[in-house]
Amino acid sequence: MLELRLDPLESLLQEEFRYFGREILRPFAAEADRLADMPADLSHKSEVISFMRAHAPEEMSSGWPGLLYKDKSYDLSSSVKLRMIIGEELGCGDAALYLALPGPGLAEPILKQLGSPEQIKRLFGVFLESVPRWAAFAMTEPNAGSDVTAMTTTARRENKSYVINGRKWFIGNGSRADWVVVFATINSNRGPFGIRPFIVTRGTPGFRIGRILPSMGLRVLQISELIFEDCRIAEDNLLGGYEFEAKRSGFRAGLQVFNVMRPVVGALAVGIARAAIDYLDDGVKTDRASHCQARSWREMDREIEVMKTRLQAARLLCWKAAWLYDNGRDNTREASAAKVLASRTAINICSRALDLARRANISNQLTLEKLCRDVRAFDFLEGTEDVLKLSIAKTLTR
Amino acid sequence: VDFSLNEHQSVWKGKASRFADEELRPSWRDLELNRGAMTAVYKKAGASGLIDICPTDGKDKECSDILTMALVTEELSKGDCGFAAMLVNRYLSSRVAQISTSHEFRNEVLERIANSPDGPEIAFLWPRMAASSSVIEDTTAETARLKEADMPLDDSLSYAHSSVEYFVGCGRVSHLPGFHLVLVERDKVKILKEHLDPFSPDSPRVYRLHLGGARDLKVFRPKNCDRHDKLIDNLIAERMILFSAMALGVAGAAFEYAVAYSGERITFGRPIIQHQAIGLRLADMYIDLTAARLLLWEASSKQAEGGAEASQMHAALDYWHKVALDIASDVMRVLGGRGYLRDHPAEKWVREIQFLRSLR
Repeated sequence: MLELRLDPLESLLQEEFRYFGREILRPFAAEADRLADMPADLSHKSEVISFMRAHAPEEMSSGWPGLLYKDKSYDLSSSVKLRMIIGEELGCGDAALYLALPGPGLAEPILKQLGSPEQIKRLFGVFLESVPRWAAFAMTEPNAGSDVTAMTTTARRENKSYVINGRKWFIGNGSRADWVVVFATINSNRGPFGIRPFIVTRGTPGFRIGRILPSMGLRVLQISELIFEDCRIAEDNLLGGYEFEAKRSGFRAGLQVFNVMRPVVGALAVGIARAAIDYLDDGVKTDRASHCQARSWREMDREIEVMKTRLQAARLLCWKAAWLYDNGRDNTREASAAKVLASRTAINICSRALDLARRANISNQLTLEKLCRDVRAFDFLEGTEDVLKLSIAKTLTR
Repeated sequence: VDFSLNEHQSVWKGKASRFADEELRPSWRDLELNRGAMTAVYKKAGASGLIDICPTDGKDKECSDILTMALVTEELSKGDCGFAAMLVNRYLSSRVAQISTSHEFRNEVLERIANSPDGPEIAFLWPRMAASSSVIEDTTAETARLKEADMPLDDSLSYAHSSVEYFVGCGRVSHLPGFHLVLVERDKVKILKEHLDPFSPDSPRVYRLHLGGARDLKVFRPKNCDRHDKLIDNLIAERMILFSAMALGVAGAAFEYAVAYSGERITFGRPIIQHQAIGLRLADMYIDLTAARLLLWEASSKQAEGGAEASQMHAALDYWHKVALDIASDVMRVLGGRGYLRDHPAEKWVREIQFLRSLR
């Protein structure tokens, strides 16, 4: 039955992560942006370490221990919806810091889906420690972004090992990852059917970090270039098997990650826009008496209402995409639509909020400026807008 | 969070969708140009039980909830917006009767609706009405009867068929606090302009009626004003939702038409949907329409539970109508020059949405 509200348990989780975002992440946002690195004071916080540990499978980590409600624990990856709630709240706290938090990041869903028990134990075991650890997900290449099947990174089978050669870039947390899921082709003649994911751990000979790509925003994420030159890894680092299996194909699993993460990325963008609206709203309330004519404030109130409405439409589309996935239905089209609408809406809102803040000369302009820089990344994260729209168009006549 | 509809909603949505597909969509041109075709469709709707969504046969029998009505309105609007408007009028008129605490008023309205099961005789007025208090005979009575006089119902509007017999609605009567419920017969109203919207140049079916004078106007003002004002606020919000559902229904029809057309129309050796310019445009339409529809569902749910904030509702209203008009305009572009011709319904959809925007 149609119910467009969170249930009580989800509301508690929302409250938990609203607190996490505002009280733990947000105070470090400006510093992290300036350093383009994770402040050590933040990464070693017990809450952050708990969050990292909570991404391991529940039987290894016992989930997320509540911050506010300590008698509860949550399996954070049990549904896309929960991921989205966390995404929006932490995105509202600070999206850049959320993406850069210690943990497996995008590598988590694919490892849980394709990993053998031994691989899961070994690789998630890293995150059970008490110091910050990261993992990364490396699919994009300089000449294979939207068209990932054009990837040129190869994995050559030799005896009981694979030799990887190629270059990956736009890899979030790539520079600090303990291990990386690397997509490479075992047979370039087979297109997507030849692509397999491999695990490469830091320190493996032939694997090195190239540049940390200088970016407009999300600076703390350290979007990196990874270089593989005759990088030899043991054969048990292949995820999902060598032979092609329709359901467990490495490439297919990689695409499934997008169906999970696009609504989450959309929720993150919604969170950023919500933060922008909050900052603007606070500024309006605080400074109302001292600037501008009453008419301008009324106009601003109205603009804020319009922003909230558009944001709610985007949020509902993200929820719909997550709901479809969680109910075992194909959400490819909705996941793309959610991500496109959420990022577009968030960019427009942040930009407009900054314009209004400048016009009214209210405080928080620097924070809004940072949000504007950060949110622009969501235009291409998890697929560029135009490519996603083309993929939607292809499904319309089916 | 759950996006599935309950059985009641699904049944009504399916019923409306089938009716739109079988009776409305195939004869869209006839319905626009031929008065007789519309009358025949009304009779079929009566026979199919579709109009039972706003029942009139018992005091305690409630209309379907606003979400169900919004779903039905959207589906019917995909077939024909004018037909959907008539059902919306019936629904809102029934709601006026239901929220009325005056048995006399309520029974009279319901009786009139019940006696016109297959026709568009009831139209809903919305609150831009102003009348002079001096002509109200007795403002203390639950129902007041206005004198035959120059009743300046300036700029009162109704979205109605030309053969409308009664107006039911709510409005402000000047010098009196709050809203009033109104029942007025067509022949007691001087209709200053019974003109078509400029965007609908030769359609005889949907009119904007500017009421310039009225006689024997029944005005109802309940004693419990505060509660009543809230109820009428809800009614106005429901009208906003249903008009938006109409706009989104029309936009949905336009979008589906564009998808089908662009799968068949060949240019440069392939279906135009395979050209990126068209594909991107269609994807944008899909995204915006889906989001706007979800927002409408949410607003309807909130409304059913007691009502959303007025400022939120107005912002949402702007959003829905903007999305609808953008989509209809883009559909015309997808069709190219053909979209401008009346061979295709694309230009009709633009006119209809433009018209609905002017009514909100």
